[in-house]
Amino acid sequence: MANQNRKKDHKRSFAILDSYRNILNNNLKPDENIFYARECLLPMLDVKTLVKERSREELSDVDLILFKLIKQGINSVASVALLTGLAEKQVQKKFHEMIGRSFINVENELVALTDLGEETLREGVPIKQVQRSYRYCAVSERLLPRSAYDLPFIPLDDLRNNDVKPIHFQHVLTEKKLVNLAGLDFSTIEDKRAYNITDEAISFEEVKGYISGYLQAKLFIIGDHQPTRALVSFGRQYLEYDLPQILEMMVPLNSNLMQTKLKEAHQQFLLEVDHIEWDALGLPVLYVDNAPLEWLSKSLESGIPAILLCGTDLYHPKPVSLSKLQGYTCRYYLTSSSQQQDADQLQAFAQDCDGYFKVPFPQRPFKSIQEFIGAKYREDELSRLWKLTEEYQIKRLRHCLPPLAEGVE
Amino acid sequence: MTVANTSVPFWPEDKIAAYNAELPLLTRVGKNYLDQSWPANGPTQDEVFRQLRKVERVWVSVYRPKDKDGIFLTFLAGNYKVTANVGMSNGNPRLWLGRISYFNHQDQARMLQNGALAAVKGLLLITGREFGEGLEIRESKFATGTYVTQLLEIIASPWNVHGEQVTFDEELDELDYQELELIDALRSFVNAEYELEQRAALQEPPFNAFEIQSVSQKTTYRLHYQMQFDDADYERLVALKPSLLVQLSDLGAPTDVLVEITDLAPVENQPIIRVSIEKQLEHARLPERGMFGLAAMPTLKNVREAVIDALAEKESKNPWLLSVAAGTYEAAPLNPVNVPLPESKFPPTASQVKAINSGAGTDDYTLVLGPPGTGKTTVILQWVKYFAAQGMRVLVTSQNNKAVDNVLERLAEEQEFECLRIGNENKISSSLEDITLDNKAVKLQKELFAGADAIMKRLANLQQSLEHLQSQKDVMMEKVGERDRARTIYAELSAEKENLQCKLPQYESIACRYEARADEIRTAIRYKNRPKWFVLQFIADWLHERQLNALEEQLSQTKASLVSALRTIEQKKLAIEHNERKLQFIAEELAKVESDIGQWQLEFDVIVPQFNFIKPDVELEITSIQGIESTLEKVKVVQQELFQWFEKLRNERQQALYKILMEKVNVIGATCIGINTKSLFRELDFDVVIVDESGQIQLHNILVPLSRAKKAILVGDHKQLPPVVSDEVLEEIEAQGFEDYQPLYQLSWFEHLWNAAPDDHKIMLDTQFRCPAIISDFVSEAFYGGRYFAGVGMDKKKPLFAFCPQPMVWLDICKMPKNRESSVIQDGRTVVQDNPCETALVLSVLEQAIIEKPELAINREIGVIVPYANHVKAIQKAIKRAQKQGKLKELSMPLNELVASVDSFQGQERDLIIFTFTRSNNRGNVGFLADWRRLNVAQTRAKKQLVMIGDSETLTKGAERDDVRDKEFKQAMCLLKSTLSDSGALLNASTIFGAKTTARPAKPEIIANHAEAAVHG
Repeated sequence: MANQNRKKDHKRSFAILDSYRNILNNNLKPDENIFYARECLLPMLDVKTLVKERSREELSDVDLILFKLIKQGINSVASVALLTGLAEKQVQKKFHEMIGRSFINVENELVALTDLGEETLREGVPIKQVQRSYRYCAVSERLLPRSAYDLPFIPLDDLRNNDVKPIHFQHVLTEKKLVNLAGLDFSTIEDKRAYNITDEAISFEEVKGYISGYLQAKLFIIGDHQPTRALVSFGRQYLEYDLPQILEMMVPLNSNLMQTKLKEAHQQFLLEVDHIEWDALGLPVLYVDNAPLEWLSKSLESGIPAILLCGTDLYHPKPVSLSKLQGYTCRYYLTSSSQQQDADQLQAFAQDCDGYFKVPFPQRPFKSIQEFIGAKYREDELSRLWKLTEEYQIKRLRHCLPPLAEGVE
Repeated sequence: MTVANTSVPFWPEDKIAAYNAELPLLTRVGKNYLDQSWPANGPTQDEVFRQLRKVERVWVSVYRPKDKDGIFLTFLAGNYKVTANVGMSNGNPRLWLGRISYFNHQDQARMLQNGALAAVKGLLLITGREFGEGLEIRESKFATGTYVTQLLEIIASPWNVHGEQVTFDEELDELDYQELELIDALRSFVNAEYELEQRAALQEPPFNAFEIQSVSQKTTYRLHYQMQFDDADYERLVALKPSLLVQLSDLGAPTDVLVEITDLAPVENQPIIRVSIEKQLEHARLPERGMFGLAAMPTLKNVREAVIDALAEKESKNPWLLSVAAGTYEAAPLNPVNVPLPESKFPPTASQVKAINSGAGTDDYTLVLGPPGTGKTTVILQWVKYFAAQGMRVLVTSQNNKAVDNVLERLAEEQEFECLRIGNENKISSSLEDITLDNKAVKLQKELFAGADAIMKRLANLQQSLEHLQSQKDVMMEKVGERDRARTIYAELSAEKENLQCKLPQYESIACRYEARADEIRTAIRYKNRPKWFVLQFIADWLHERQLNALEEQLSQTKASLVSALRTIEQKKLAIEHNERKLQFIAEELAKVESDIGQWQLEFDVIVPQFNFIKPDVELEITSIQGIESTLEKVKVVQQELFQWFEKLRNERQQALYKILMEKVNVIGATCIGINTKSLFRELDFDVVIVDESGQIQLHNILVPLSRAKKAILVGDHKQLPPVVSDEVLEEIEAQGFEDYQPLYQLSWFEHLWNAAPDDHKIMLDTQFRCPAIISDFVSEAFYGGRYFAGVGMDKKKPLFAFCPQPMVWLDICKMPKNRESSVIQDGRTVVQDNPCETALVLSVLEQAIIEKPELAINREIGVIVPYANHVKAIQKAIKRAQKQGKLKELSMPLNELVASVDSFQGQERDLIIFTFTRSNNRGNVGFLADWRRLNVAQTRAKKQLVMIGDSETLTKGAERDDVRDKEFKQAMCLLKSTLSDSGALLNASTIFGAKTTARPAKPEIIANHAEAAVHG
């Protein structure tokens, strides 16, 4: 049992990692950045509903003849047993089964097919009403995708349970007081599997109950140079949420305490933060004077060196996550003109390189990136780029540069 | 609740702590409670207080700092986070406001994990004085501080107002303690048995079958083989008598193929055995040679474990089994029913009637104690008949196949219900061949298809009749139309005729009036022809002429009117005549049509009842015969569907039909385990289970059949043979920590239940019709507390042989020379081998019996019961030897049926029973004879004559001592000895068989010689 739990936890932790990787790799549009990434508690309902489904197993011969005879008005145990040669006890048992599955109803000891029974006979397979649980978002009032079922769900009753993973420091999304279940609508669902609905399901019939609780997912706020959309990721799948609604619950960081903390955090890199500005979301934007080379060549976010993340007059800064910020990000502007120039050149070059690789291989005008860069840049520019990539130790970009012509330094 | 447009609250009412009152938080006058970081443009404190007063839901959590006394509360209300602490005022708790700030999502997350959502009627922020002058006076809960206690309780605070830990009761498990422990004990029984079996199997070296041949034999699920071993392996097999072998791989590892031994000696003097394997096994075919090891029986374990699991999960069909076994069941009073019993030459005894009525009326269980010969099977038969008549299905079961067969043999003779015997066909009595699954299926299948043909024929006739009706329908409808039209015309004509007839007198009266008037006028004219006045003749003539003319005119008119009236009358009369003729015709037509319709109606009335068996929607009124078409259509569809259905059944393999066919059976006989071995059997529903010989079945075995029905009848006798219990299993159970449950394992569940059940749930059959009264009187006094009676006529049974003064005699060998048992020491234990003296006497008695009553041997009515297995073999050998010498040739029955142990004889009866005690020693050691239940069984097998052979000194030695283990047995033997002695039936074997001079009724020399020869030889 303990092993099973461990396995489950293992799976869950990977689901969370999946979500981050997935957002980075697949769901960011060109030029989009992550401004906020944090584990969140998404209010949801585990809705138990009757679903009409086609059974995977066909009707047995005995079932089929019973359906057919009842359809023709042969409606007593004795008549059916007499005609089919089955034992009355067996017919009785079958009738009980059929009543239990709502295929027939009984009046004055005579049976008749219900609508479900008629449908079953028409389809040749049992149409059953089964109770299924679906995860339903109590914020956006829609079904959650299939991968949400791999994530941990904490029912309200378990919130105070000591076994539940501590949920402090998680972003709690605000639920609707009254949650409308109109999102349980087959007509709006194109891909049943994507929403954890079986292929055999035909329609939602009746809500039998629900359990409220919170799903542990991951919230992302993304945009180009400012937040434009909010995503809740459930691993491989995600849903977009209303950004203003999410932002309402964001707590700005613009406190003096945070300012001090940020400055202290950067002092260890000998980084002189000239001043800090706060954007509309309350995220810090740090203006840096004469940043040391060591910091500029340091990988700040996903292996990208600071020089490529810092903003200049030409480029917006890219958000950088810091552990102290707990999901929030900060951005850096370089105030030194020479560093700004270096950053601009390198960022332009990096964009060109990324642009080349985004073109599908057969459509690329040049066989290699070096040829492409060689054709695009002048010798002196290449020479300058060689120098900059060496100086800031950006191997990834240096490998894209063609060899310099002899005699050129 | 349908899905469309449904809204549900995220926080259901039951998840919200219902405080439902205003919650006062006390403040100090003039103090600022707003947090330092309160925004400059934020609301004022008063504004915040006002907002908080309106909140309806607040999050509340409680916190107890480690370094401080008392507890603190945090509220999230609206956008604010409000802290408070519990303070004491004159020993009564109060909530004091701490600080107000905006809450962030971290606060919210903490609250989710530590707090509770509560419904309130506002947070009331008031000063201590306001509280004291207002709320405290208004409500006592504020004065006493109960409002704080209540709040902590409804939010399930881990601390009370003093900061002390609060504990909550844990929910109890569904099963109670006794039931849970019993479940564990039962698992331990099953595991202990299986483990020991496995251990024994592993310790035994493998058997090498050097030749394996398949054998053709018709059984349902099995393939049969013949295996040949070398002599050493074969001898080991014969000694071990295993029921199951497992095929070993080349490396000696067990495979999945289990081989069941069906016959250990199919060919005389050849090291050959017969086995069978399941057909369903993958690659189910044995190789031409192979290695085999002993195997523990996994089926037994699996079946029992599955039932125990179902009991633990409360999924068993039997609702009372676990609680009865755990001793927690409270039985409702049993209401017997009055079962109608057929008239019989041998009416049931009062105790039988009581047992039948109680068993039939039970809602849970009934125990029936059936001592030997008291007619258990008769009672079972009556139950089965009763339940079958109620449409119930009955499972008749017992621990072993033999016991099941004994009952089924009797039940199978009955025609009132369908009986089926399921189980391993190798082990089922050949007399029940007809009701084994395969054979029964053939019979049921025949019946099914015969029924099918009849049904199809009936439907075809119905269709024909309906088609005939339909073909006539148009004509009939036309006739009905004609009839209706004719009826209308007839009615119209009749009315017209009536009218005419009414009017005719009127016209006739007019005609009469005209006639009279004409006569008047004629008379007047006549007078005018005779003028009287001459003077005024001219004028008079002129006037007369004028009057005459007028009169003639009138006359003429009247005549015309009269003629017209007469003509009309004539016409009317003609019309009436015409109408009458027409009415006559129409009436004739109508009668004809109505006769036709009547015929058709009759035909219809004959056909319609035929529909009753399928309840069609044909109207029974002739006026609405539209239903014929739809019914005909339905009949055709039903016919077609049934044709396909029966065709499908005809084309199915026979075994595929078993499920359908088995449902048609009312009574099924199987062993306790056999009934749950196959899914086909497991799917059968039973209404009642009757367990025979349940005095030999332990709980972990009997619960398998009992779990199959809600109603159970346990028939048995715990004063006969108990369950077979091995000391090793008991040790294993103890090792598993269930030593308290050893008695449950040692005794039958019947015995446990008999001691615990309410009186109305247990009935004893008390009258026996098998043994001579002298036997049952002794058994009654010795073992049944004097409650076991001989039936009518049992006291009149005479001894069978001349040398027997009573139907029960004891040949006492204490005075015989060399009368001691022979034994060897094996593994430190004394193993009794033989008692040559008793063996010789057995042969002598047999010889004498055959001489005096040869029919006993012919009818196989002799049984020799021997307690020790080795002594059984010794006697069998002695008989074989004697037969080789040309003696005892009349004993044609198999020796293992003639001479057997007590256990083998339970449930059987013979005219002559010879029971040899074997034990004869100086110490008075009687070994396992001490279990007096063996003596009970052995004695009560005799229908006419019981001859016991034993050493009275050994068997009664130490009876007077209190400390002996076998006191009960010894005392019973003392009683037996004195009883027989009083009736002259305690015979000194040496006197009767030991000397030629002893007066013997027939050839005493032969007996004596034989005995002497055997002893000395």
